[in-house]
Amino acid sequence: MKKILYKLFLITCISITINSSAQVLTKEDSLNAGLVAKDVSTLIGGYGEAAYRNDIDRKNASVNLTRNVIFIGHKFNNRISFFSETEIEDAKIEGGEAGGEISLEQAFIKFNINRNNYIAAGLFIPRIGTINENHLPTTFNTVARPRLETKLIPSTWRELGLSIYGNIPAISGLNYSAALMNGLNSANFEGGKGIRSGRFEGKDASASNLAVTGALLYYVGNFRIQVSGYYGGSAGLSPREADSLRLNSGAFGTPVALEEANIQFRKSGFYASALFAAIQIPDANALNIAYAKNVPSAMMGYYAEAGYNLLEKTKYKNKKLISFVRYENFDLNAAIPSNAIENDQYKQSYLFAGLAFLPLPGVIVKADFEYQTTGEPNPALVINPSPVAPKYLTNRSFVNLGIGYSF
Amino acid sequence: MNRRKFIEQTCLACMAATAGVSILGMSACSTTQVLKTTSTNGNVVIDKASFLSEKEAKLIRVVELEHDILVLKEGDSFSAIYLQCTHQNNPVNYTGSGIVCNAHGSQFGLNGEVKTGPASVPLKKIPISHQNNQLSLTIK
Repeated sequence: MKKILYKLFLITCISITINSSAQVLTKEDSLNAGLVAKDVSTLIGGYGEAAYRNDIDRKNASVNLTRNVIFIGHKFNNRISFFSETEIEDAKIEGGEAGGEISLEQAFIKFNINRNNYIAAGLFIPRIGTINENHLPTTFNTVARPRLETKLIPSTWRELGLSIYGNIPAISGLNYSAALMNGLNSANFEGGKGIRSGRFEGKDASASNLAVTGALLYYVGNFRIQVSGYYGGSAGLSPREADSLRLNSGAFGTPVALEEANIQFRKSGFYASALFAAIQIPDANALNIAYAKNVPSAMMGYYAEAGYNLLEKTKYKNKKLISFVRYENFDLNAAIPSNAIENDQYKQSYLFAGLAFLPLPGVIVKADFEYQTTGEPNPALVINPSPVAPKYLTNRSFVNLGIGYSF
Repeated sequence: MNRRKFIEQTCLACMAATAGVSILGMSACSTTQVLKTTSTNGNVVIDKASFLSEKEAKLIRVVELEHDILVLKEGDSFSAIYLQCTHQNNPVNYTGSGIVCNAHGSQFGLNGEVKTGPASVPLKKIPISHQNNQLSLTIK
């Protein structure tokens, strides 16, 4: 009887396995599953990072689980797949408390047109800068993401729309992307904060204004070269509302433009990169009349980084110990309209020097020293100065330690 | 800055950047030949004679597979790599000097080894054998 029950149990298990409509694969399983693609499969991955930050001048320190992100992808068939990344920031979200966030970083359906081109529809991350698209902690050396690609290019910047990606077979290594997506919300722009707070990130976005973005990405020899641009409307209002605020409405009304170019070089353990980005808001004057947020008409900046893998010529070649230095410089009020107030505090530079250790490609341990310099804040912009506020420091130093993972 | 000047400057900047990349592209322009085929009993057979140079790369497009196979010839030896990223299964591209994934930036060497993450596992190598004038790739 026991044997019969055991056989029945085995047959049931086998039947369930055979009849499963989806196969969950780990990364390693997917390699071993054979090349002839399964019709249906689900892939799970993720990444995350935690950071310790010691403010040397203020003599205090903090530690935070910056983010943990779960990736789930599902292949419906060889032509249609689904990708999503769900992020929890700061480890914990509690009602009524500041900090913490649950959000979707990406959620789109990918339609393969052919082997060289595909379309992504949904919430996607446009190819602007390097960190926006490739933001895994194992892909950058500093504990925090580059400041320029946070404050000027508002990574991780995702919006709803349609994007096409592909490569150009006639030129090996040349790739393109172009997208149509919802625009920004200029009502939330604010001096010194860039365009970051104007992102909708998939939540109740206005579709009255639109944006187009495109990038060319070229791998040639040891170089990776990219140029990208963005142009979109930022007044997602009805013509009546926009008229009352004296703003231009329509798909590309009250526009924002962004241009970016970056180059990377890798050879024999040596690594160097540079990035330039600029943003223009030609109707900043009208925005300041409408919302009084001291919006600039232009912002721009650059950074350059160099590093070397100290284990490159040792027997530990499968690990990496990267020593690096990065300098960032940007001005969040590079040009201002006549009704804005200039603030030197928004002219910022950052110098980083540190080490990043990757015992294997999916795990990173980081340590860096950060030296931050800004101009003096304009007292005209401090409306109610606090009598107990500590003196503003134009030069500050930090020691940062961090761990990161991706799988 | 008035609107006309702004649009002119933005367009000029974009045109200059595109022209720069185009010039670089033309100066290093190269194409990898694509051979389209099907598999029989899990094997793909290609003609050795289709490789004309001592050092050459070809993309093999098998109908049953989602991604291409890169076959590299160097002297008398051949190797084959499946062009699917081991990070999140996106397609990877052969650039001439390496293999890259545009989705998340992973870079691989011509043996499929990981040069830069986030991928942590090498690209899948495909067993390849040669008999007489034919190469046989085992894909199943």
